[in-house]
Amino acid sequence: MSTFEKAKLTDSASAAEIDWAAIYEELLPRVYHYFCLRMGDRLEAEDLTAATFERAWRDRERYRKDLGTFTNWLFGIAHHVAIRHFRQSKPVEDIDRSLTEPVDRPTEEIATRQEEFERLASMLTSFREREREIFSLKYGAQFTNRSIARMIGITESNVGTILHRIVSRLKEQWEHENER
Amino acid sequence: MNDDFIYKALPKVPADFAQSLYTKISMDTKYHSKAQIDPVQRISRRLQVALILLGVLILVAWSQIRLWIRYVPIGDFWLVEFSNPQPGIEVQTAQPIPTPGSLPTMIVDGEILMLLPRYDYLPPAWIPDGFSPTQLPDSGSAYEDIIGMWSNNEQETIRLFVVPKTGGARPYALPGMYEEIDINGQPAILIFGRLAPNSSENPQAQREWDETLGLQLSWSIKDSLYTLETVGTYVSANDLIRMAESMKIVSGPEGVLPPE
Repeated sequence: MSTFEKAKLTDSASAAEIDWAAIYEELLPRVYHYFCLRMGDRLEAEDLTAATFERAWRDRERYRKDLGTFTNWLFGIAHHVAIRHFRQSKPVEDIDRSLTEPVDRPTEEIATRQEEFERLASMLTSFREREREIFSLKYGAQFTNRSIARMIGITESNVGTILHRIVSRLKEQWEHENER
Repeated sequence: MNDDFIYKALPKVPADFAQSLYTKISMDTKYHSKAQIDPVQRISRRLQVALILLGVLILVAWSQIRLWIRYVPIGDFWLVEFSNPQPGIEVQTAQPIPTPGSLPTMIVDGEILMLLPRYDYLPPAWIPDGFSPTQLPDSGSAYEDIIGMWSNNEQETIRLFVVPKTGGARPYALPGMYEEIDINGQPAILIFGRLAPNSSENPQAQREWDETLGLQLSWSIKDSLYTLETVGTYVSANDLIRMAESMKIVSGPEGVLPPE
């Protein structure tokens, strides 16, 4: 068992223990998809996902259970990583590409999926940054409308309205392109 | 609303990326260090830092003291030269060796002589005009430790006292307020004036050096430092030097009865 797996997150209130291996398995796809939808680029999403987890691991002692869930704390880091990325317009912490480039040839399913993601990413560029943020939190990070509303600082119904508008437009464009 | 197309379009997390990131984080000792610092090691590091800071403070303090005080070698004894007397800083003054008040004094050939068990008495063969030996103050007075005293009709005095060279207090002066000379071939120091007494109105005020407050002439013989001093301008430097040069050892090394 690695140090990573054995690590325990503690807070001053309860000395709660967190299983990092389980956390990683559960939250890695959500963080990765969040960045995919926000950036529209898979490689950038990998870099930012790596930066988020590395920072979370480095700052794990700062997490306090009494102030919020670990998921929210992690996505708070992801949010700042994204903002920093936009400001710098380059990856925050570039991880070793040799470790992340796909080794195997993509299968047909993967290739199709990549193609569909690029279509989706292309459509998302027409939305404003705030709309993409809400969309990414919903479909990438898989937060509920209520959680998103709390994070963004708007009402839950407002979140629902925005998401409905985005998805309707995307669906319309998606089907339109499928018909061509 | 059917949003399946969105989920279907999301790429899967590349397995090699997931694995390499996991490995990178779990193997990177840089990220382990914060959680795994041994408390003893942490205390040890803090102690090291504290010691370094203390050392720096001592060096700074020492450099400041060096700016105020300098030891000037005068033959085989030292003069304390200080550049700027500070309020509240006690300047070490030359205190005479205590002479037991019960020791008898005697007058021989017009000189006051005492039984001095620890050092030699040096009767001057010449004293300035108008001065004559006078009785030493009684025990308990301000001058009880003086081993020789001469005065004139104006009640002006010349005093002689002696301190051990090792462990005894040293003469002190401001730069430029002393002159290195020799007495009978021995290095000596002639100091012009002294620190004025504290003002009674403002005891905390900085004491000033006053050149008019007499002369101090110090020179060493064997293990003792002899000092002739005046407290005014009534004796010239040349007269004080001449008086010192006329003082010869008249007893054995451990001090016995002065010659009759």
